[in-house]
Amino acid sequence: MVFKAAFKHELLSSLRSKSPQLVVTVFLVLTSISSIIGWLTVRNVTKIYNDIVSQNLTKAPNPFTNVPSLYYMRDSVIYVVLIGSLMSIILGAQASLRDRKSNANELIKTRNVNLVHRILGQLSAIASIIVLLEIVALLTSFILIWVIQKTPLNIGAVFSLLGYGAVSAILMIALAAIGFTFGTISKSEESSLLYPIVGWALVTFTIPQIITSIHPVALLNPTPAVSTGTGLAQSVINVISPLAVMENFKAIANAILGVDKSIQLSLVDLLSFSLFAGVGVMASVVISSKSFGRKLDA
Amino acid sequence: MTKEIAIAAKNITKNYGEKSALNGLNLSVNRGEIYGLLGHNGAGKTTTVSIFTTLIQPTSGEATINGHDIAKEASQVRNSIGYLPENVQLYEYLSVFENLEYLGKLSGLKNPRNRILEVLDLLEFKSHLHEKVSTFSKGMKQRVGVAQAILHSPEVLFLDEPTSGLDPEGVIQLREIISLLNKELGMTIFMNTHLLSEVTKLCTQIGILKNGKLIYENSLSSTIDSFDETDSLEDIYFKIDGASKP
Repeated sequence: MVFKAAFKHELLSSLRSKSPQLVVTVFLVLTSISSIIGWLTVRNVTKIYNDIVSQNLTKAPNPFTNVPSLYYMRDSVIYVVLIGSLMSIILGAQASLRDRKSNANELIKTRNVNLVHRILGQLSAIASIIVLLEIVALLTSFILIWVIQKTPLNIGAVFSLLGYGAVSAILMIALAAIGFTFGTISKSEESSLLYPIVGWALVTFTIPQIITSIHPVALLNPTPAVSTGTGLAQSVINVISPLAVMENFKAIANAILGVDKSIQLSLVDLLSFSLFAGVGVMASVVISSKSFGRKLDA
Repeated sequence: MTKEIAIAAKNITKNYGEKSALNGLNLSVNRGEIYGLLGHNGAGKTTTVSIFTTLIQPTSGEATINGHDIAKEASQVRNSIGYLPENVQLYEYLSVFENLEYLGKLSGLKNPRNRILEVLDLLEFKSHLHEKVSTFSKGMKQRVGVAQAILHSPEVLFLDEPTSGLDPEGVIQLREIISLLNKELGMTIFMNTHLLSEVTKLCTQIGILKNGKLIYENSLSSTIDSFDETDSLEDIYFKIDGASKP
């Protein structure tokens, strides 16, 4: 009963709160129109290519001839890493902060409430919102690609799209759980958002930047990796690569969508991503239930 | 005939690091009383209520609610108490019904709808059932706060500075509600306050807390009888407290 009540309560509260509404809208709009952006890119490059060909400046084939149908989803991966991650952290943090700001956590602590069930109810509601957003974004992409290509995606591409949606949702649910934890344990509302966002920035930008410096691979527009051989540099990469969760996600997403042959999927990517998601959610439930009821600093 | 004790504390201490918030608190409240715990800011009033409501554990000593030990039988204690914290804001984006339905379910009510309507009817607040809490004044929020505290029909109600921040009209309305809960439903009510006027108008029994110790406990009528006829409760308070009246 507690799980169900918390689930319903969280759905209502999250969907009515203004700050989550804003990031949810931005995420939905960007991921939904990512196919249009991809299509515009192809159209513009093709137009320039045709001009160059008409001037006999090249005989090379159009780089966009025979691009896979899911090529148009390429930008969507970046939006999940950037906007989707922030949206999830905010959704999670706001969920636990709501109890603390309203003093409702004091009321709840004076009831016989199974806190683990309650937290699972809240996280499940946030997960449902994320899954729903992914479904809307993917459905929009499916329709837009159909319109752009004048033919629907084949069954294989549909499965790839669904697989990509599932991996994106897992990443965002894990980040929401981390946001939820910081919303429970931080001393102030500001720090509960600041800490996970700083952590996200480290994982998204700093660690890949270190890897890029050692082992030149572009961050958001990957190019084929240049081997630097073995030695200290490679050892550093081996140690910090699993921490670059967003790079791991991008590798998995690209492998599923099949849009970027330059990114190689490794077992380390899969393992570290799975570990991040699993440990993130489990740690959130344990830490949040143990720390429930902490007051915010006045 | 001996009266049943609803709330009891035996030699309770509570330390926060080096600082002692409660220092050997002994207290008892009979069933059906309205007990007012008076004291300056920092005297230990909120710590006392937090211990009785199982929010925190005492460093040493024992406390019982309706005979149930707050440490060993916390579950039974929680079933028999209602609590209204100071400055409860509730969930602003939700309606009165949605707030109460959620908190009612967390209190163990399987289908709280009828009980919510019953409680709001008692508090004369039924007309606001579907209004969002964010649109309410402090007094209206406090009424919803009382509603959530009594939803599961507790025998003992704890109120932490219930009239804090209310306008005069809100104070009068809340006072009427507290009186109603005591008289109509027979609830034992324990309230923290630093407002002597509240104690005079509501309480049947008073306690005065100073530096974490109960320095005085008696019925309101005996308290007034045992001092000079010309003394107001304010004068009596300062005589007991030993502090000079500002």
